[in-house]
Amino acid sequence: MIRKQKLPLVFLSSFGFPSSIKAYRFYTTVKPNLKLLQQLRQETQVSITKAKEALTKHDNDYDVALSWILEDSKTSGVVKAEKLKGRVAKEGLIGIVLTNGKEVMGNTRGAIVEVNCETDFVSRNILFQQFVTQIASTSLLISSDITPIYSSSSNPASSASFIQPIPLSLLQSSPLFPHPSTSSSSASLSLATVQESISELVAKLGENISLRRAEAVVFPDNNKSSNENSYILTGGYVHGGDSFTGKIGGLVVIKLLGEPAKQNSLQSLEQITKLLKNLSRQVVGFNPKYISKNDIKVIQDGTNKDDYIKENVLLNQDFLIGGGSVKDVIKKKEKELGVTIEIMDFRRWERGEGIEKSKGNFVKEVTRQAGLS
Amino acid sequence: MYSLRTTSAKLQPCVRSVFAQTSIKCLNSSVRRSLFCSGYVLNDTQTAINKLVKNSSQTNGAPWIRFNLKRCVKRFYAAESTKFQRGKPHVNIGTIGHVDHGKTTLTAAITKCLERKGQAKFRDYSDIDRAPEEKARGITIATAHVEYETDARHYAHVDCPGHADYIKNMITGAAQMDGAIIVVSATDGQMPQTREHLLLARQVGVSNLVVFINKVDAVDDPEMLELVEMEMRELLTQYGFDGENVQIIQGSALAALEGRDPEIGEKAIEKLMNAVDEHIPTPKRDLDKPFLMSIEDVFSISGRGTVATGRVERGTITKGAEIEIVGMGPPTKTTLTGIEMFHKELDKGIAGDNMGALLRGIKREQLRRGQVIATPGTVKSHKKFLAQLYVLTKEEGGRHTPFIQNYRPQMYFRTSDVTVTLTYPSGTENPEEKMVMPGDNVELVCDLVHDMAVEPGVRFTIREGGKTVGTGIVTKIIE
Repeated sequence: MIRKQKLPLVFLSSFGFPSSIKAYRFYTTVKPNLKLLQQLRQETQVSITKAKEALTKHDNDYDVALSWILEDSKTSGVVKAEKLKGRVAKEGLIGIVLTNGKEVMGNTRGAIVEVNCETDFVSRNILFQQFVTQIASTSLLISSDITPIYSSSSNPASSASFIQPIPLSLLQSSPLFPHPSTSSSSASLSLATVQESISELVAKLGENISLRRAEAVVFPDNNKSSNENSYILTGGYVHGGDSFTGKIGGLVVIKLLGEPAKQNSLQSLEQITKLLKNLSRQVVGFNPKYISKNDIKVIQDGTNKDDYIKENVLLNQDFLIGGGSVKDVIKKKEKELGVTIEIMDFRRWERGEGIEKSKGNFVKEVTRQAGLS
Repeated sequence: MYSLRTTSAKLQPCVRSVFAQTSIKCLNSSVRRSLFCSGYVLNDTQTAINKLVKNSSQTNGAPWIRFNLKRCVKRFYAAESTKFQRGKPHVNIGTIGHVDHGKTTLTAAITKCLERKGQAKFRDYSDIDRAPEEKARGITIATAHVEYETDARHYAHVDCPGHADYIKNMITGAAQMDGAIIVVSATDGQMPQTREHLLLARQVGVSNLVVFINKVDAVDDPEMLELVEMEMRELLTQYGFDGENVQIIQGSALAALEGRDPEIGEKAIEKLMNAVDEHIPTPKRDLDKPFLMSIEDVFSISGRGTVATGRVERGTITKGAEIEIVGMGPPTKTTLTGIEMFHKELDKGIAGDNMGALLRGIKREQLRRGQVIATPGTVKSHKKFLAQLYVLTKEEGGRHTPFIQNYRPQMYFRTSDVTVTLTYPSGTENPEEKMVMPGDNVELVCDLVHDMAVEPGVRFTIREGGKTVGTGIVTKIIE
């Protein structure tokens, strides 16, 4: 009824603006079915305008409208992402995913990523959390193909670092994989690339979302690490979020030499996993700069050397849950299990670190918009 | 915001007595409302009061009300030379919504529309936007305020950039919100993060919301607007709000700002503020709450008895009233036989007073600093409760390193300090694997070594080795 009453007006205005005739025809001929509209919104979480457009364009055919939205969100997301690109995104999440060596002793790897958004309302949303977990899983998967980069300039004794960056262009063009623990049936492989998924998410959440960095554990030398009695193991910890994502993340790589006592290898594996978790938590909580004091190059004049070492060197820090220094705790564990443990590499990322805050001033903006001062 | 609160608590005595009188004499509530909601009060006191006196005598016909109002007139006159607008009840509200849905524009529209009526005042609070205590402690708080007034009330409009900032404000008491306007764009409808917005409102204790559907001029189908509204009501209900009865106003903040389409512009803003006036209740003032004073010091005065001194936190008390001493053991009931302030005897003590309380039949040894004197049955002592904590960063003078569960610092609240054990709430997954880092907002179980008078809403600080490492607010009593 309302439509009909408005018709003359619609036509009048369309004389003035011939280009809008087409748009008006859509609205006047097909009215969206409200039930379907709501269902479509719930399923895809697109904006109400978009959901309406999908239904009116396709004669209220739900399935066609749905696939149109999925297709359209890629392109419209790109447009939206382009528009929002300039806005500061300093919130977001750090995501960490590890390969799980459950029953048998074997090398394990891990990946750490940072994805940024504008507000912590979005980073607390489950869509965003899942997305970051998927990005981390994808990074882990594709990093197995990466050949390590040997940095010739750095200290030859420590050889290449175990945690290496994944080129973002490679990650963006890779298909987005679900986390291995999610049941494969529910997480239907969309086969969208990471970049396309970002665009889709931008369309849904309406914030600038950017993949900032990604690194993964890469075994530098296959010959060495495949030694029968030596394992490369990775631990991870994220703080202030769910199991895979949070505000701060830490990744630690250790080398285990020697076979743990055979009869209770499962138990010792558990103990090592726990130690790895605690070491990662140590890295997150105590923010070390170096693994051992030999890595320190310069100590600024005027600082107490011992204090500096105790504060910044992982092995010399007090262990978070007590038991002396990190070194002491590792030594004790080595004795217990009859192995040697060496910390090879670590990363500690804080979301938004180094990103300049936008200097938004609410009061000034309100004053300006209201035309008062 | 805290500073605003305190200034309103330190109302000019005459205004305060008006409040007290109206409540004591059980003035007909409609008269009371009209007195404080009229807005005349602010603009032209004399004529307004005269009008009110006339009106009230016509409608109610009770001469004593008339008399009472005339007394008010005198008192109002006395106050006129100072900042009188504080006489209006003060309410803190905030706008919550997606970055592009027009929070700033809406705030600008509200202030502009009210400014046209001469009721908005801009104050840039960037320099003074912290509670004095917070400033002293150096806690940084990202918040901004704009102030305005409707006919009924005085508002401070709060805006924070994110969830964590709102929580921090709530914990420190810097910008407690009494209600919120949820802003949703008609073109988008609610978004996935709208859930997070509602969760935030819940978490900071806001149970009264008003929804503004913005940008309605960009949608030409009224059914779409209905759908946006319906979806909003469903979501509100899902998150524990009264979705069915929440006031939802449709309009365009931009239209109001540009002075076009008054139906969706200025009038919508007017409707919105009416809804805010009516559906976000004025917080109870400290004066109206049951009496409570925390004991700071205890003296025994020969020939008179035991005197406990302290600052009245809330309520009023008269000489001869029954009171209860709560905390550190079972409560003791007795009578307040005398009130003294600056060595002068008084009949009454009210919130904000520093007073000495003479207590009948109480020995000095029975009283300890940190206990409270309260109206019987209004407060109980507890040992275990849930609290929301903010842990200070290194830059704010807090710890440099994280702590894990079973951390045992000193907890300071009111005048007491007591050792507390902090643990994760039951149901937390792998509590032994978690930690609390400087800068975190976290909910923890607090277990005191001895029982103290605590109740939800009590703020406290956590100290260790003489420095403040955290601040918090009691959210739920456990036992």
